[in-house]
Formats: sequence, structure tokens, C-alpha cells
Amino acid sequence: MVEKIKKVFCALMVASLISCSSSTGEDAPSTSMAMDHSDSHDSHDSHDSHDSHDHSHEDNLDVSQLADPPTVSISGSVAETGEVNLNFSVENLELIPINPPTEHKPGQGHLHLYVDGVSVEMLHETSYVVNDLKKGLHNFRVTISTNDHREYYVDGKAISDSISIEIEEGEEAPEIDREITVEVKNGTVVGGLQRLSAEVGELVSITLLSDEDDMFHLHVYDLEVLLIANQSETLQFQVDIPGVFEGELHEAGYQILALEVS
Amino acid sequence: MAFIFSSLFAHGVGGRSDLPISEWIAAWSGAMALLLSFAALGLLWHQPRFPKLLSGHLISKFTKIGQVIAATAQLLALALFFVVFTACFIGPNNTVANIAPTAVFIIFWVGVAIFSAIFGPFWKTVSPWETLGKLVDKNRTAAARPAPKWLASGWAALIPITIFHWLELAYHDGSSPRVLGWSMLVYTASLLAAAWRWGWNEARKAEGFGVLFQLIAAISPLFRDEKNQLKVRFPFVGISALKMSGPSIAIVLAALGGTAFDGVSRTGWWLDLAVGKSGWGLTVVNTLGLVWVALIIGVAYHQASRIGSRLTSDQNFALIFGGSLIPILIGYDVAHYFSLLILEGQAFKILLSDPYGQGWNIFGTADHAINWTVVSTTVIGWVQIGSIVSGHLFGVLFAHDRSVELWSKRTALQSQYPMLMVMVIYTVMGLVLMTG
Repeated sequence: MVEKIKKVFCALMVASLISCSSSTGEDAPSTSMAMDHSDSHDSHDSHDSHDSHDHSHEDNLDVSQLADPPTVSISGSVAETGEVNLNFSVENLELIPINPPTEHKPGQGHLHLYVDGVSVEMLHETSYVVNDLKKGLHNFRVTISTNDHREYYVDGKAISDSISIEIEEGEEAPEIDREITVEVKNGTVVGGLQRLSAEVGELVSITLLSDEDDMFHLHVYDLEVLLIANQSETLQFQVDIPGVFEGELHEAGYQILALEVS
Repeated sequence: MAFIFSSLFAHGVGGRSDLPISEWIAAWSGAMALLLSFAALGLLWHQPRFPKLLSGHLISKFTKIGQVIAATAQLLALALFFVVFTACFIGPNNTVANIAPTAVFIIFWVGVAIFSAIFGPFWKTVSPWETLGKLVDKNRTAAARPAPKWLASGWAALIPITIFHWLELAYHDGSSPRVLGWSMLVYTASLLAAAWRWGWNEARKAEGFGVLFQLIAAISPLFRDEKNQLKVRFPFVGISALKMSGPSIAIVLAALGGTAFDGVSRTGWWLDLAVGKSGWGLTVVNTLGLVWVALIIGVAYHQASRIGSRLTSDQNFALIFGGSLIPILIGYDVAHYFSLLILEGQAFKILLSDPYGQGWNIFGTADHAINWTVVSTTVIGWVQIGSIVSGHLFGVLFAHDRSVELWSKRTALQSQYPMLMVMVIYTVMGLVLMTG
């Protein structure tokens, strides 16, 4: 009996093994479909400008060759209650809910919203309310992403828009316990790998500056900061998990920060 | 604010290391290990004790119920293997969102090793390669041919272990689900082809993971005797029943070297060396580092064995004491990967509910989050120190027991100097690595 079940199971496995390895081959056509689509637009794109940025990285999708690449803009205002109402206007892109997850389709996607450089939400609506902001100047940036969470790029830069809004009411920003600035230049970290030590419960501030567009990711804390070339972003958060954590750049592909929380 | 989509982009299993232990704790532990070793040398006992403890006490005779449990576990393991393998290709092409990297690097590599040390040779029963290999054996039409020397000698088992370490620790894209999927496919297909040609009994010798886990299982208090009965005995004594061979020592040393390099690659010194490197540049640096650390580990044992052979005029010195490397290996494993298994390992339970990234929630665990504070850093620190020092201690005790079994008191004592030296090197290295 057991032997029989085993045999049936193995036959099943072999069958799906074969079907599965052939299905990986199907991935390629689906990405080339995006190209087909763009070609069907009678576009007068300049291939040389596109080639220079055509790094086949998985975190973005360069659509420079499209005649009408998607665009996004952001506007916002402070309500009397202290919250910020944001509005987005999107062109040449159909906004699709992120759940259930779907395959990439050209012309579809959703918005990624960053508040003070930190990713906070994925949206398929064109408005959003941000609460609980501390007193001071805050930056809001929106980017557009494919259904499979790659940022849309044009000419090697993320398609994005941002605004800064001053909050006058609200809680005073708390005091920073530890801070560090990490600068990335010419493909390496200025002054070598940067280290920041803090204790559980402290508020840390990490300022990031890169000479190229990139995405900073702090592991385990799972904080992501969208970096625009030569524009510094500051990340503030309370450390609550002990350990040593890697902070890395996704495009560049190396670690730039070690955060030690004890 | 909820950071909901952030982890989708992460790569590299881990991204977290344990806090460095303080240098004075490491120094005291090292001194303690040394002291215990010297005490074990002459003071403890002059008659071999491990072999007497081998027979153990009966727990269960393993009749019908045992077979049913074994068959169920086999099927479950095979199903899991199948799910993980298919998820490599169908699931999201992302280290954190795909179940395969967690399943392979944490649950399989670390989990099975540590569980083998605790629960004995269970992997031989449930291993999907074992199940598939035996199936090939049963369905072979022609008789198996005699195996070539490279396979029959057991050295082939070093190939998967080496490639696995390279993928895990050196290759920059080694934790990509697609890379893992192709590796699993090639490995499984090669094993089954070998089983078809030479029979599974020979092909099994190339299944390096099985060989390694079987060696580790020798230190478990649980074992099965020749009548297949489940028995319990004092932990670690099982190594004295192991017949170590050249390949099995090489495999244990390779695993030890890999774990040591993983430790090296987390030190501040190495991070400074590798900063700014990515892609193939990083792969080259890591490969050199891996080879270099593995060589230090290997050469240390080789040299100690040469000196030992001269002192005892026994050519088999390296084989006689090979078993003492196993407690050291498991000590290193626990010290480096205990927290990984308990913390990052929680991702397995989460991903198992949605192995293909389709938004499923089969076991209702898909929306769970990893509890990063389930063990305190203090506990982790003591487990690290404790496992390195006790690995060392049991290695020394075994070597001591072996030597008084084989030689006169004087030769036995002499034989221990080189063994003690190599084990002190491993232990000090392990402790230094944990200071960051």
C-alpha cells in the first residue's frame, strides 16, 4: 500500500518536474512581450540613451523606449487636524490592486509612497492620508511600480514626483540618541563600511547620500529608502530588535552600514 | 505606519548577525576549555569508557507503528522537497519571498544537521534522495554495474558539499531561488542517474549531505541497533563506533571550514575588506576567503595527524581520531546557526502557507511575522559559548578514550599532544570569530 502511494507520488513528481522546468522557459516570452508592446507604438525612441541605462537589474523596469511612458505627480495639503492629504495623478498607467498578486503587464502597476524617504504604502488609489507626523518639514515621494514590484524607470531614473510639506502643529520631534551619515561615492562607501551602535529603545537617525539613484535596505527592520542621486535622505526610527544588521544598496549590491543594537 | 512591501526586495538569507560576545568572556572560555582538556588528559580515566556505553537501553522495538511513522515521514519529506523544488521556479524570484532559500539554507542545512545531532540518523529514513534512489533501484531493468573507484571510494561526496558551500557563502547570486532550483535539479538527476547505472548502494556514497548528517547523527543519544530497535545511550559515545575514512574526515573538515568562513565573513575585518564589492568581484573575494579558511582548518588537522603518526608510529592516526572532529563541528554549527534557525527559521512556517507566492494561506500562518525577540541575546551568547566549549570538550574526551583504548599510558599521553593542539586551534578560532 505504502509502496503504491510512493510510486504514484513519484510519477506525479517526475511529471511536474518536467512541466515545471519547461514553465521556466515561459518567463522569457512574458518579459519580451513588454518589448513587443512598446514596438507596436510607432515610437521614435533613441536607442543609445536607453542602452546606457539598460542594466538588467530585477528591481526596476526601464521604459524609456515607450512613446508615452507613464508619469506621476503628487500634490498635498495639511488638514486642520494635522494630517496630510495627498493626491496623485497618474497618466499612461492603469492602477491595479496589489492583492491578489499578479504578473507584470505593460501599462499596469501601482504606486509606492515614501514619507521622509521611507516606504510606507503601496497604493492603487489616487489619494492617501498620512497621520501622526511630527512637527517639522516632511518629504513625500511617489513612484510607480509594476505589478511585480519593480519600479518603472525612464532614462535610468525612477519615475517619481515629490513634495515637501511643513507641519506646524503636532508633537515636537523627539531627541535623537545616535546618528550617522553614510555617503556613497564612486562605487564605494566613503571612509569604509559605516558602523552605528545603539541600545534597544534608542532613537537613531541615519542620513544617506549616494551619487547614484539607488534603494537602501536595512535588513530585519525592513526599512527601505529611495535614494535620488546627490540628494540626502534621513531615516529615523526606534531600534527595538537586538543584533547586528546589514544595511545595503540594492542597485549597487553591497553593504554600506552595520547597525549594532545591544 | 506599516512597512508592508519592504521585505519583497530583500536578498541574502540573513542580514542579521549575532551580537559579538565580549573578548574577556571569550578569553575565559578558551582558558576553561584548555584547563578541561588537560584535566581530561591524565586525571580522568585510564580505561576506555566510550565502547562500554555503546550498547544503550531499549526504548522501543520499532514494529508496525515505527514503520507507519517512517513511511509517513518519508512521504512528507518527499512532498516538501517537491514543493520547495517547484517553488524555486514558480514562486517569486526573491530570496525572502520565496520559500526555497529558507528551506534549503536554514531548515535543511542547519536544521537537519542540528536535529541529527539530537535525534540521531532520522535523515537516512526521510531523505527524499534516499526514497527516490531506492525507487530507481527497484525499477532498474538491467543489473547494476560495478561502481568506478571515484564513487566507490566515497570521495564523490565531497563534490556536493563543496558546491553547496560555494553557493551559500561565495557566489553572489547563490540564494536566488532559480539558481537553487537548477542546482537541486542537476544534483537530483545526477544521483538518480548514478543509482540507475551503479545501484543506489553505490550512488548513495555521492549524496554528501546524507553522508555528513549520518556522521553527525553518531553523537546523538538516540540510535537504532542492528535489529532496528530504538535505543538511548550517553550522548557523544556513538562516535567511538564510527569507522572514519579519508573522505568522511574530509567532509567533516569541509563543513567545519565552511562554517568557519561564514564566521570570518561576518567579522569587521572581513566586512572592511569586502566593502564596495558586488557581483563577480564579490564572488572572487569570497571564493578566495572560503578556500583559505578551509585550508587552514584542513592543514591544521593534517599536520597534527602527521606529528601524531610519528609519535605513536601508527599510520592511521588521522582516521583513529577523526571522530573527535564531529563534536567540534556540531559545536561550531550550533554557535553560528542556532539563532538563524530559531529566528530566520520562523519564515519557513510563514512561507509554507503560501509556497508559490499566490496569496494563499493554507495553514493560516501566511500573515504571521517573525518574532525577533523569542530568544534574548544573552541566551544566544551563552549557547554560543557553551556549544563551542562543549564541542571541544567532547572532542578531547573522545580522543582521550580512544588513545587509552589503543596504547599504553605513555604513548596514549603522547598521542594527545597533537590532537589537543589542533582542537585548541579550532576552539580559539571559533571563539575569536564570535567576538566579531
